[in-house]
Amino acid sequence: MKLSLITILCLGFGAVFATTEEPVPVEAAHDFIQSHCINCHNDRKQKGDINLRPLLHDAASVDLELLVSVFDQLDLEEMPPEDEEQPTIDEKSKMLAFLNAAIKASGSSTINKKALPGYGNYVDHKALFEGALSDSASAPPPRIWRYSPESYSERVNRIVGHDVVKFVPVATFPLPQKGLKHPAFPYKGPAHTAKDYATIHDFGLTETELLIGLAEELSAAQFNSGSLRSYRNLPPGDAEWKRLLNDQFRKLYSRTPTDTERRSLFDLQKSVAETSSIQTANQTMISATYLRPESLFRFEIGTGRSGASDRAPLSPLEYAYVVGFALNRAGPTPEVVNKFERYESKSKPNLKGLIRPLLESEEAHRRIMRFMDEYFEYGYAAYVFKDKHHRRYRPSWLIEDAESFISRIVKQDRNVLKELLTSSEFNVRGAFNTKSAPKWFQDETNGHLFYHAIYNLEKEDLGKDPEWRDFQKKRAGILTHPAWLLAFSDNTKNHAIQRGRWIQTKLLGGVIPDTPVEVDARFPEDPALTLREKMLVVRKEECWRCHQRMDPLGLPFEQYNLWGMHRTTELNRPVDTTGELNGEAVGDPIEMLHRLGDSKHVHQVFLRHVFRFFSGRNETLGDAKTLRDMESAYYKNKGSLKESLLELLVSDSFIHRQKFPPKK
Amino acid sequence: MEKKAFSNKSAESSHARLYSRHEFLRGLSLSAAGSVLLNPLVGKLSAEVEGRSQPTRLLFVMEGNGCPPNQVHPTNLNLTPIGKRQQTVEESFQAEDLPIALKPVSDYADRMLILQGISGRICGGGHSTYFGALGCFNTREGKHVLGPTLDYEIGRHNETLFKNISLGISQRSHLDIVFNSSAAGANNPIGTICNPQTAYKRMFSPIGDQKNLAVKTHLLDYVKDDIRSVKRRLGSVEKDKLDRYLSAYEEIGQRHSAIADLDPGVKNRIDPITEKYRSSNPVDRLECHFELATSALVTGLTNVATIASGVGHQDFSIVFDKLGVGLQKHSIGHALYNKEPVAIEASEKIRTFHFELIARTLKKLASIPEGDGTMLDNTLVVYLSDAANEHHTKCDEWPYVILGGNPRMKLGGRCLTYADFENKGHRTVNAIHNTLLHSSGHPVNDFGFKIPGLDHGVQEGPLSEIFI
Repeated sequence: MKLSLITILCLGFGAVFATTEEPVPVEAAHDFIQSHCINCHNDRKQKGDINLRPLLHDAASVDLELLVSVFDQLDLEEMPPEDEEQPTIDEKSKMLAFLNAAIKASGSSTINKKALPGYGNYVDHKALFEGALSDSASAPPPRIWRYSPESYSERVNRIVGHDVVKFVPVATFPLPQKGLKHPAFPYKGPAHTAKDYATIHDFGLTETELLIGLAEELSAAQFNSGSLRSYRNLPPGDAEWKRLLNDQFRKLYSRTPTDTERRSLFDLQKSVAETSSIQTANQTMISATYLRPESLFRFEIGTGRSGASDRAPLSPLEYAYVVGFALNRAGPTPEVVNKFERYESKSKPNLKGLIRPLLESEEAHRRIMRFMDEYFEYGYAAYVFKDKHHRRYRPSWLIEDAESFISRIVKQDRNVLKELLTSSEFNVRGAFNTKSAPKWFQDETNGHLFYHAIYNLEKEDLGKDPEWRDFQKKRAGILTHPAWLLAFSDNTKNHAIQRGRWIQTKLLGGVIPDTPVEVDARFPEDPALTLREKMLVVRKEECWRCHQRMDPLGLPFEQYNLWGMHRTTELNRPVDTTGELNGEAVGDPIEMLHRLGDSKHVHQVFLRHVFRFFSGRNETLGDAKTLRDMESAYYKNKGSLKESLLELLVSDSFIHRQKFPPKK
Repeated sequence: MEKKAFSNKSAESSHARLYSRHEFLRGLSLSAAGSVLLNPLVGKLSAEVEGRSQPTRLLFVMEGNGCPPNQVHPTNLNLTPIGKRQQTVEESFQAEDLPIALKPVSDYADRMLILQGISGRICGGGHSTYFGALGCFNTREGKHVLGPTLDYEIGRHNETLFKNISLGISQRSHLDIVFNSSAAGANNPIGTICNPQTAYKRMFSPIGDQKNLAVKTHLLDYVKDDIRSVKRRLGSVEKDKLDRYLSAYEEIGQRHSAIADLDPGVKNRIDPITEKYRSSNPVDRLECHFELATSALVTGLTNVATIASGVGHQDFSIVFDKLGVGLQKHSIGHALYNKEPVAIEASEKIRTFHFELIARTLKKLASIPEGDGTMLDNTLVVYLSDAANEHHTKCDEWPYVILGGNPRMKLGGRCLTYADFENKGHRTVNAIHNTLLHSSGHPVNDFGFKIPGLDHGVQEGPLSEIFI
């Protein structure tokens, strides 16, 4: 069974390790095993229940799951352990080649995990920002990228003229955040990552079945009440169809159909008309336009003209699309498409000049806010269930406050990350009728008990209107905002571990290995113990290896209770808010967040996440120059996120693609 | 050839007329000569007619919000509390011993097996284990699908038009589909169809509909050609994505074609679509889903069906107002911790309703002869909760009620209470899954993920007390 699971995993994401024609470096691999593995994983001392001696005899006979696990741990630098002697790059690559051959011999293949959502931090940070840059500019592979559910919906609703595609929170997989989606377009990535990754989204059987129904629904809407309602019975072959089809293509693909495309659609229309009504034939033809790959995927192939042998720029239309969708979920308008004609001939400053107005648009602001939502994850607060008073507390109000806080900083566009991590000014709603209303009205309807009190505000402090309030010394930045704190809590406790994990992966660029599926850690239920005391159970060696990277970063947030209220005591004792950052003690969350906000490294990690969201993929070492240019633009422009983003949009990483067939 | 119609009455009447499945299957004639070779369903059904094989069928009924062990425990037997179960105990019960919730299936007491004390800690816990209940893994609140679920795993081996079907109800009644219980593999959830009309349209509308088939075929052929043309243009670029999209059309086309080839008369034997199919009330919808699942099993469109009745944190807090229960299931779950009589009554009422619907399915299956017996001899209904034993579960014990028949399973009015986790004789849910795989002809001994370090004998292989 496990074999088949591994196989499914491998097949699901596509094997990317190219078949090597080179001989398998068996001797080098055996030396590697003897030097780096066998001391701990031998017949007698099977650390972690793992014995790697059989690898020395007949690697292909070793359990496939173990082979894949060894490959991943080596590739992702989880092994050998940090405190052991590390292999050279050459030794490591030979060992990986050896394992790759053994896995292939078992009928499976390895996957490039570093390309998957959630694994971006495994790309060497130091090499990205400090390593030598390659002489020749590199380019990512060509790709097709499924439209996001929001983009698809915007586009097709623009055609049918009203909201046919319902935006609904469809799945428990994964938990819907702010993004609502049609079930034919589910997000399939793991939690805590940017959602719209190009690598993992396509159309399988279930989605395609739903898609066909959706296409029929859209087509019917066009004929029943939309732009085609006068043409229901227009016979196939009528010259008017050419104009109508041109129009449909322009709306869907920003271009007119080729003769071949037009002919094949008319052939479909005629074939259906032979056995069915004209209306059915017409609707079927229009349905087909919604099911063509071009309706579902953005093509980033690199079909522009190029003198280089190994890479090519995106065509003007492709480039208009990548920029258009980066800054507007509805994609580029026809005007934007026109704007990018002959973009290749423009210098970078001129190109930036073309894009800058788009970046100042309300749509671009919404895209940046979407990034902030996916990055900080405060939207999850809406899905956290609290038994006590669950009907009365209002996470949606708190989420709006968090958005207001972030939006102001994004609009100011100065020292963006530092402000996000340290600003103590939050926008808080007012309360109507604070004087004469009965107590229940003030407490509940006005929300004092379940909203203002979370900010530690007293009733007498409240005015009618929303106010920007300074919570200096009590809060600093979005990670101390009640919405974020609630998002990382549950019914009975704070999620100190998950908070620490967030900081480790999203600010420090660290990695936390996948949680073993069998782990079901249970904290003691003794109500006399604080969470910090209960968490001592993870100090066992096998747990602490990972938990030491999270817990000391998450525990300072014990400064806030289960509802996100600032507190000074816990269980009638002074609350312990100490933690550890980069091996140094911190006294409380505010101190920690100011240190994080001043860190250059943290800013670089933040920009890596910006890159992932807007590129729909993880960065590679080939993107090092782009990331450094983004960093440079950020600092040169006083911490401007928009200038940094602009640098990304005109970078080689964005504009070029490897020539296909891809380089091996 | 005499054709006789099935109807709701046949399922509900105490004098349901026995209808020969042999006769019924012969009614599934093809409209096009020679299509047998192209149609695995009909080929398989023909084989069944000639007595060459009997399919084994499964209907999983998964009810959200936990199933307290005492609510499905025979009243003549003491339920030893968890923590005091030194060894595995087998006991028997009669129809009159069944608790309130199981009364509707008392006619089938001799075909019933109640399992208590099996643990599912590998599935984690919380308000729901989501896909983990049928997959034996920890989804961490529905976020991670780590592998295929049992219904898919058994169904995929069958030569039926639908490998498995997933139907269900949700508190979010505006949704036609949710993803909460079944999966075809890692990161590959199968949608649970919540709108009975959608499910009916998908499974039964194309039966015998040659005209619509022609339109659909033209459309699918056009799209397939278009995908192929894009593939030619792109060569190896994104080949996997385009292949997957293309193969989806091929599978949909083949299925549509096979369903359309069925004699339209088959539709007369499916529970007819009624007014309640338009209702969004959970009681109506659940009734419809049982009818749909039963019809799909009876017609052989599938041999494996799952009904997910409010599975998952976002879908389970349903109000069964038509049963006279005004409380949300979430509130009921909490109130059960305080042993509030209102909550106990509400919980039992809802569970009883589920077993009433199960009883209708059993009755219908029992009315259709198959081989030397009836379809019920080859069909198991497996009842469980995705939240194991309680509202906030840790899956320390996972009650199961299994009804019906399978030649390789010993049911027979027995109640097995397994020893506690640390004691000899304990078994985990993996073993139940292995048992169902074995009894369906797929001898898998290590389904799902296992707890490392735990004796393999506890987790591997089928349950020897049940599997023959």
